[in-house]
Formats: sequence, structure tokens, C-alpha cells
Amino acid sequence: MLDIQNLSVRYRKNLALERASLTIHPQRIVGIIGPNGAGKSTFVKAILDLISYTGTVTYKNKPLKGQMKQVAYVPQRTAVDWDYPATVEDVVMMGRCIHIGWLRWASAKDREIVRESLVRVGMESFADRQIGELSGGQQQRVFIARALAQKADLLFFDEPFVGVDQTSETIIFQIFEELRNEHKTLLVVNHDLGEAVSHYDDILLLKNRVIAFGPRETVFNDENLALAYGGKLSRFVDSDGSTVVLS
Amino acid sequence: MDLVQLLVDPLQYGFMQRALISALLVGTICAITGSYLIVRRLSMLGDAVSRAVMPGLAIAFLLGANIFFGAFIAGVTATGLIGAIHTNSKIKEDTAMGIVFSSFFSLGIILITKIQKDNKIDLNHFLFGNILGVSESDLITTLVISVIVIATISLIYKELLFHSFDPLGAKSVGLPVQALNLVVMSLIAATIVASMQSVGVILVIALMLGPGSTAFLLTKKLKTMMLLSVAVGAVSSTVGLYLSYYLDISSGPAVVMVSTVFFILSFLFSPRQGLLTHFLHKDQDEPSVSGSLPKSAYKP
Amino acid sequence: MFIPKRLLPNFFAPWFALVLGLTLTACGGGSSTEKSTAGESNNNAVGLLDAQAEEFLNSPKPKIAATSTMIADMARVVAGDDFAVFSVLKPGTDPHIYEPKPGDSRVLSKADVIFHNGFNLEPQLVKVINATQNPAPKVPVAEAGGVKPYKMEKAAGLVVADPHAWGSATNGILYVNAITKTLDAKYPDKKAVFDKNATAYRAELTALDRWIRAQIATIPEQTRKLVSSHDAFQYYGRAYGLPVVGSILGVSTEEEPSAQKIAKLIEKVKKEQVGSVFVETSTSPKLLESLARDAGVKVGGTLYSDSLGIAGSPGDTYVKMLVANTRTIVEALGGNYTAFVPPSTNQASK
Repeated sequence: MLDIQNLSVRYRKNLALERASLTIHPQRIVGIIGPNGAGKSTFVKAILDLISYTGTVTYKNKPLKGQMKQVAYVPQRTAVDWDYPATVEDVVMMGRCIHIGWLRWASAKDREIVRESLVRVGMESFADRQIGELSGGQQQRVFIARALAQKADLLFFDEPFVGVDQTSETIIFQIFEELRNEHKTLLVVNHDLGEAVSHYDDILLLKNRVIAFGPRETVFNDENLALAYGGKLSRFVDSDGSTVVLS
Repeated sequence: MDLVQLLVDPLQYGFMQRALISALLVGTICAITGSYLIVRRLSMLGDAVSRAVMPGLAIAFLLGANIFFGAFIAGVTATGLIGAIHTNSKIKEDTAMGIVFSSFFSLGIILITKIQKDNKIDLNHFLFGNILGVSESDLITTLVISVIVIATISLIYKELLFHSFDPLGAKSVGLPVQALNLVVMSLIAATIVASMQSVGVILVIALMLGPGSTAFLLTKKLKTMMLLSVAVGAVSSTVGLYLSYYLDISSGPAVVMVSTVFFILSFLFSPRQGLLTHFLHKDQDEPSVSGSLPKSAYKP
Repeated sequence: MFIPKRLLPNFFAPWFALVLGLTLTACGGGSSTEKSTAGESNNNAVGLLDAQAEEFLNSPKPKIAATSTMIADMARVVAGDDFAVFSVLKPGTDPHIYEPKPGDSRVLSKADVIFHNGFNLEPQLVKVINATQNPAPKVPVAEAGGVKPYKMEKAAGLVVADPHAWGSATNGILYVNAITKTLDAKYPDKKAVFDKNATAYRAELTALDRWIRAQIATIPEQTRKLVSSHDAFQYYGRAYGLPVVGSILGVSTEEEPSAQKIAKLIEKVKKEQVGSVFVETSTSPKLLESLARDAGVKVGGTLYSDSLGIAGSPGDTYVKMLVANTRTIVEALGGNYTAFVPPSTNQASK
């Protein structure tokens, strides 16, 4: 259980995030949505101690800071140098890094775990490819494999669907659901409000503060969206029952 | 004169033997640390630090302290200042670097010029190297530095790989990124000082970036890149030294020119990245994009 | 990026720095530091404002500025106490590569007489001298004194004069002549003083000349050979019968040492069975020490090549410089050294 209390982030005199408090239960896929500049990435980075913040973050009733092995962060694709000389296998092995420990090298067991993780996401035949040679969807799957190899329970994804085609997106959501069913918790920052929203169990709607948090059905209503997006959206229910939001 | 004689002739002199060993060691550690700079996109910082160590050396001389300590402190101070300027103002990083390193460099020149006659050091030796004057104790120091650099990089390789590829991911997993930065910073400063005698402060960055860049265009893994860059660095240093002997030219620049030739070859003819390779194989297939679907996707 | 936000964020970092530093201190400890081998150190290493220059500029006496320490010394002897004499180059400074500072321009623009060596010993300083609007006489002493220079081939057919003429005391006399002539012309009322000082000095130099030749002759022929850092001793060597086998650098220290040259010199040193080689006060000893190791010879001592020593050292006047060099050479190469006794009128050797 991930418990966040009064999380605030200041960025050069502006309050990027104001006193966010919420509890995220295990085995949930949480979509973090909101307009540009709403503090979505900031929220995730603060929890992961990548930026400074005030407030407390606990996991299973102990501070998260001491349990970082349980946390895997998949950064935005733009934050990664795709020319970097690393193969798919290299990247997934990074997930084993903290388990291997200082001053030791990867063992056969680690290599097996890496292989299994790659099989899980269907990328085992790409093991020896340089990561820049992959498509967007494939790259995301490699990062997911890394999180699997790390055996993390808390997975954070920062805009994972940018530059990813529809088919890959579907595949990735399928993997998400499997992971959730295996008792993992996934937090996904997603600035897109399309059909993807229906894949999330819970929604955290942010606009520099928590507008709403809870199961998708309760949070995703006109009122909340208006508060977050300033009334520039319209929703309608499509023929197949899914909600479509237009801005 | 046959090839063997060509190779052996210069080595009958102690000063050439020492020069060669020094060049090999320096070529090796510059290649390794340079590879790291390249993949971390810190080449400019490396350039800045290589010149920023000057005042540290001068002050160390004045105080009778160890020059490596002086260089390290100057390097860390410069890096810290660059960061401070950048985070506390509108000034972008490249400008901050330019300002800091040129002022440190100037300070270094002023100080060294002042103290050089009393300490019998030569500013030119710092700037351009003095590989023909390498003594045995110099060599031992370089050897120790090389061992430290190679050992450290090997021991923390996987952490460095993770951190340099994905700093945010590494930090979120709990890797001590500040410590890693400091360790690498120290290794780079030590490499620069050890390399000064070979190519001098001005050109050491060339020796760091040249072999690494050559290897970068030829490999897909960091480990391979580092090993290949070491090979290129070592060969360039050796060939450069021999060329300087037979053609009676300055050795530091000769080494840099040789490594540049290697780079040009790699740039043009690299199997995957080469400019001419692409040109000559215009209709080579694009790598396949679809890949296999995950097993779990086959759901009813 | 790479920017450390906090200075000591992690316990690991300072430990690593400490360990690295201690390791390097233990083994490296200033191995590339070359402290003055002759035990001379000017404690005013980082002096901000040159007190001597200020004193010179504020002096009520007529001012003589000289570029080199040797010429300044000679000028002092000839001119006597009624003149302020200042040397732009400090003891131990290499004139070939010296970069002038603004303070030098100040001094040179206020001097009443300027003496420099000539034959391109101090290229940068000569530029500065010519650039001042000072109407004072600017005398290239070696050239004005009529020294016949030896020619050196600098590089690829370029022939230059070897400027180190003061190595021979006979040339020293020519220097003194030039200095005296200039001072006589500018201050005719003091002519008697100059002439008296110059005559005594010339006598001393003549005695010195004879003495050096005799001293060098005590060195056995097979060891009577000179190798030094740069080619500064042609005049000394040829005047006194000490063949110069070679040097690492040529006539000017501006050039880069070449591996070929060092290799050839090592061969020559071994072949000619040179006994000892000599480092100098104004250049870095590293290359010569390296060569000595490779050729299996000792470093016999330090010579004053382009500069006098600091006040209080064995070579702090022109006469003492030649004496000290001779002593170093004679003792290192196996000759019999006997001290120099200047002629009875002692005024010149202050």
C-alpha cells in the first residue's frame, strides 16, 4: 500500500504540486492524468525522490526511501538516449543491478531472469539488438522487462504511450493487466485522454493538486474534468459504450 | 631498414621505452574515461575540466602538495561552479562551462608563469606534454593511476552503465548517483593529470574523445566500446610516438593525428554507421520492426 | 545532468575521495615536481608588485635598465654607486622564452639608458624596448662591443648568431667596452669614474680569462667534454678548450625537443665517453636527467647558462658566475681546481 501525505513540490517559487494526499492500494493500475503542466511527472518524480519535496511517502507503512528496490521507474522516451551503446539485454540486466550488488558481476541466474523477462514481453529474439533499432512499442516492452527483472512491485511509467502505435499500446496494456493480477501496482502518467482511460482501475486527476482520486467510474465525470481542464472538453458516450473525450 | 628494425631501433633508448609505456598507459585510461564522457554527453565538461585543473597544479606546487590532489580539487571546484552558475541563473550550461574553464585556465597560466623559474617547471610541458622527459617515478605514478582507473571502472561498471544510460531510473532504484558522479569525476581528473606528460593539457581531451568516438561508431555495447577504444588509443599512441621519432615531429600532436585518422576511417566505413557505407549500400533493408508478440497477447 | 546539487550528499563519496587522495599522495608525492637543484629559491615567487622595480622607478639617481642579469652586473661595476641599475630579467629566468609584463614596459620607458644583449637573445624584450617612446640609448651590448658571433644553424638552412657571447671573458671585456662607451657619451662629466672602474674590471676579466683556461687544461683530455641542456656554452667551450659535444636543445630553448636529437646525443655521449653532463639554472633539468640515465652518465652539476644566480648564491655576479661554472665543470670532469684570485685592486669584484 502506497501512502502519500501532504506531498508538495516547489519549483522556483511556484507550487508545482500542492499537498497531495492519497492512498494507492496494491493490485491496481492507476492512471495519472491532467492537462499540461498539471504536475503529473512532478508527482511521480517526487515520490521517487528524484526531486525535492515536502510531505511523506510510505510503502507498506515504512518510508519508501528505504525500499527503493521495490520501485521501477520507466522514464519518458525523450529522456533516454537511444544512440546509447546498449543492447536490449544490457537494458534488462540493469534491472538486476541492485540485486547483484556492489563489486560483483552478473551470474547465470541473473542472465536466466533477464531471459525470462524478455520472453514475458515477447522480446527475446531482440536480445542482441541495439536499443535504438527498436520501435517505440518495443522499447517500452524492454523497459517493462527491466522492471520485471528487477522484481519490483511498484512500477512507474512516465508517458509510456508517446510515439507508440495502437497495436503496441494494446499489447502493453495487456501486459499491465497481467502484472496487476500478479499483485503489482502500476502508476501510469498519461496525458492522452482517449480510449486508454478505460484501461485504468483508478484515476488520479491532477491540476497542481489532487482534483480527484478513486476508481475510474467515480472520478471520470464532467465536473472533475471541468475542474482540471477548465471546461474545454466535451464527452460523449460512443456507440459501443466507451467514453470519448474531445478537447 | 626492415620493419622489425624500424620497430626496435627507437626502443634501445631508455627514454623511448619510458615514452612508449607512458603513451600506452595514457592512451588506455584516456580511452576508458573518454568513452564514459561520450556516452554521458559530457564531452564539453571533459574539455572544460582538462583546462580547469591548471590552477590546481600550480597551487599544489606552491604548497608542496601532491599535484593530483590539486588537480582533483580544481576539477571538482570547476564542476561545482559550473553547476552553481547554471542552476542559479539563466545562463545555460555550455556558457557556464566556457566562462569557468577559461578563467581557471588563465589563472593557471598566471600562477605557473610566476612560479616556473623557481620550481624549474615549464609551462610548455603542462600545455603540450613532455613525453621524452618521462622519468621512472613518473611512470610508476602513471601506472598506479592506470590501475586505479581500470580497477574502479571494472568494479562499478554495471552501476556506471545503468546510471549513464538512465540517470533517473538509476536514482529511483536507489543507486548513489552523486557518489558515482564524484568517483568518475575523480578518475577523470586523475586521468587528465597522468596524461599531461604525454600530450599536455590542451590535447588530452582529443586523446579522450578520439578513440572513444571511433569505437562508438563501431559497437552496440558499452563494454565493447570501451575495449575497442582502448585498442584504438593504444595503437594511436604507439604509432604516433614512432612517427614523431622518425619524422622528427612533436609527439603529442602526432598521437592525436593518428587517432583522428582512425576516427575518419570509422566515420566513413563503419558497417552500421559509416557515411560511405550508407552511400554504397543504398538499398539495404530497414531492420524489421514488428517483432514477436508476447505470448500473453494470444488471448481469446 | 552531471551537476552535483548538494556538496556531500552521500557517506560514500568523501571516503572515496579520501582514499584516492591518500593513495596518490603515498606514491605520487610530487614526483614531477622539480625543485631548484642548486638550492636557490626566490622566496618572492608570487610577489605581486616588484619592490625592486618600484625602488628603481622612484630613485633620484640616473637609471640604467638592463635586460639580462649579467649585463646589469657589468653596468653596476662600471657605473658605480651614483646610478640605479635594474635588471628586467630576474635570476634564473630563461631569456629565450621570457614574456614581458607591463611592469617591464614601465621600467624600460623610464630608464635613461637601456642595455640588452643583442643577437636575438631576448626576442620579446627587444620588441618591448623598441616599442617604448623612450629616447634613451638602447644598446645591444654584444653587437656594439664588436663581438664576432659564432653562427648556428637553427633549422632547415636558417642561420642565426649564437647570442651567448658572455661565456668568454674576453667577450665580457667587449661588453664592458660597449657599456663604458655609452655611459661616457651620455654622462661625460662622469667619464673619469667610468674609465677607472672599467679599467680595473677589464684587468680582473683578463686575469679571469687566463685562469679559466688554465683550470680547464687541468681536466684530462678524454673527459674534457661538455654536454648541457641547451647550446649555451659555445663561446665558453671554444675560448677555453672545452669541446662542446652537444646539447638537447639548440641555441634557443624555444624549440621542442626531438626524439631523434636525444637519441643521437645519447649515442654521441656514449661513444665519446663523456664523463658528466650538466643541467642549468634557467631550464628544466628533466630531459637532461633522462638522457643521463640512458647514457649511463652522471649529472655533474648545475651551470649558470643564461642568468646569474640570486643574491647570495655562488654565481651572483658575472665574474662569480664564470668562476662557479668553471669550478663545477673542473671538479665534475676530474680536473684540479684551484681558486681564482682576482688582481690586487679589488674594487671591481663587489
